[in-house]
Amino acid sequence: MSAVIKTNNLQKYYNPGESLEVRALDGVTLEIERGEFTAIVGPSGSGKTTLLNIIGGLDHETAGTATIGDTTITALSDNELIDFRLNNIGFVFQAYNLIPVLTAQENVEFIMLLQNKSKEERQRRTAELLKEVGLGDKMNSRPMEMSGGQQQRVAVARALASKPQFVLADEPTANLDSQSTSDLLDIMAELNQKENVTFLFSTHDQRVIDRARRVITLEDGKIISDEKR
Amino acid sequence: MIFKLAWRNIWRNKRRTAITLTSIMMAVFLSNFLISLNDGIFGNMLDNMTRSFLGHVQVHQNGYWDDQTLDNAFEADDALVETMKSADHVVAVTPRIQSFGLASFENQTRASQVVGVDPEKEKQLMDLERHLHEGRSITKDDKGILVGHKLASFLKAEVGDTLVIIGQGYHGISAAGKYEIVGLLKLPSPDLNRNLIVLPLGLAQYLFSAENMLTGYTLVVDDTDRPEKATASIIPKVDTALYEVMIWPELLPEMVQLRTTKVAGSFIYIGILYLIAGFGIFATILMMMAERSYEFGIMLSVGMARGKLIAMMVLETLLITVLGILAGTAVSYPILYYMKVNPVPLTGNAIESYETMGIEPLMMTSTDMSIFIDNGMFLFVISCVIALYPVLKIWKMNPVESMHK
Repeated sequence: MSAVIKTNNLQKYYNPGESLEVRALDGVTLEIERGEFTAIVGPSGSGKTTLLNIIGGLDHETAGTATIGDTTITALSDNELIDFRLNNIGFVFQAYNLIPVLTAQENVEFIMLLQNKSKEERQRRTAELLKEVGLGDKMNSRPMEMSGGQQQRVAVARALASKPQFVLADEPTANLDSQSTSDLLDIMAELNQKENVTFLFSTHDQRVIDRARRVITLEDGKIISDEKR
Repeated sequence: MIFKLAWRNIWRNKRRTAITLTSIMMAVFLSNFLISLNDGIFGNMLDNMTRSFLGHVQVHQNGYWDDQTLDNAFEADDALVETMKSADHVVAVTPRIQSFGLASFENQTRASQVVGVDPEKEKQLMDLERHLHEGRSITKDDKGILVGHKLASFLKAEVGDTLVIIGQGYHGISAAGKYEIVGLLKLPSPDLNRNLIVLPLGLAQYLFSAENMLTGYTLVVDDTDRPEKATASIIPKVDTALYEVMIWPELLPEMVQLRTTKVAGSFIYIGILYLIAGFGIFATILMMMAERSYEFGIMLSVGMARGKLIAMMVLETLLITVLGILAGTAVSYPILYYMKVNPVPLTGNAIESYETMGIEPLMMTSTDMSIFIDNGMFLFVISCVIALYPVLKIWKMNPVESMHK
């Protein structure tokens, strides 16, 4: 097994050196192997989202390094990070993930269009992915014509469209009902097992935690437990 | 994809886009209308003056225009006429002798402009037949004269009456004569209708004791807006030590100035209109940026380059503006064209005030394409400036902060 994500003594301080200094991450060191299905849990303010943002190249660390594959992303510029994210990381956010004016098909194609993939490849892969997430019949629906669960499934399809090294999901079930949560987790677990896609979640949701095969718990910016199942 | 996104985005909030488009459309319509009306009224006035009397180019003896007396008349010169006729862009050359005199009928007297013309050659300029209001026109060897209909009205003279003209002839000789009014002229210029008396050239030369003398040649050219194209061809061929060659803007400087002043004045109103439209566009862009902050954060997060996001927002700004400009132009053009073909006659006191300024009392518009293009371009430039706002915002946008807002 090779590490897809490595962080070494990752620190993120807000207002460093001041009386109101906040240590969102305080020396986080971890490795995520290819094919893992990992949940990062912890109370609000424990640093889950900050960790995901830095690993996803969306935020900058105060100290330490984050490496994705062979690339130390903490050394990349903002513009290099945009390009890196496009080709290496899939994102699923809490809600309102999709571009409202595009159909499900166009939302998934959008990423590949940014990657300059050919039309044939885009169409073929989009059809495959939407079928995999069970939305083969919703290709031409716009986000507002779909339920929250369906929108999140499209977001998963979009996250996979670029063939990323891993998918980061920040509280993906936060706004979903039980059935939609269960469906979404089934799909992600299936993709993880069948296609060896690496998933890294931040979550409060016990249903997600129960399905994860590794659970990393953060508190006050530090890893307090790392449980593999 | 960028265009598709921009196009669909501007229709996300149809009501807001419709309001913005309407404000741009109204600004374009009103500014087109204002400029078109100014251009139409003054264009018509200048056109009337040049096409029906003044000509587009005049050639006089040097110094005549500054001191318009018969003492600055010159001998008719056939060689000069041939030279001018052969010049590029010249359509017609007509000889004239003109001075001022007192026209009297019974107890009424009025200072008038007395012009001797060749009726045949004038067909390409003043065209006496076409502007005849009453009676008949004159011929080259006629003994009768034509009088502006308002002058006749002032003098209470009619066709068939005899008018006395008294003035000063060549080199101070007194000029006096009695002439039968054979026709009344109705020219498009109120000034001419109030002052003009037209005689056959020979009769006028006799009246002024200026046999074979002229005060100038009046030329018609093919490009009326660019008479300098003709003079560029004429000037090298004539002796400029003897003759002055003048284009119509030099002959009517006060009219050109009046037009410029009126147009400049209308720019204040147009500026206010553009300001309103500009704020309308800006407010729309401001709202679009604010309500889509999360969406922009998502787009940047998933790997959309800032340049593409900026291109999308700039395109949205420009699309709204261009649609508004096209709608405004589409609405204004047919109305302005209709008013150009069917000018609205003014009524009441407006007639007198217009005629006092020498302007035909008509609400006439112009459909010169430059009006629509200039207005459209100006608003487009405003829109480009407004587009700098999303450019700067997106350039500095942090995806994480955007998604938190």
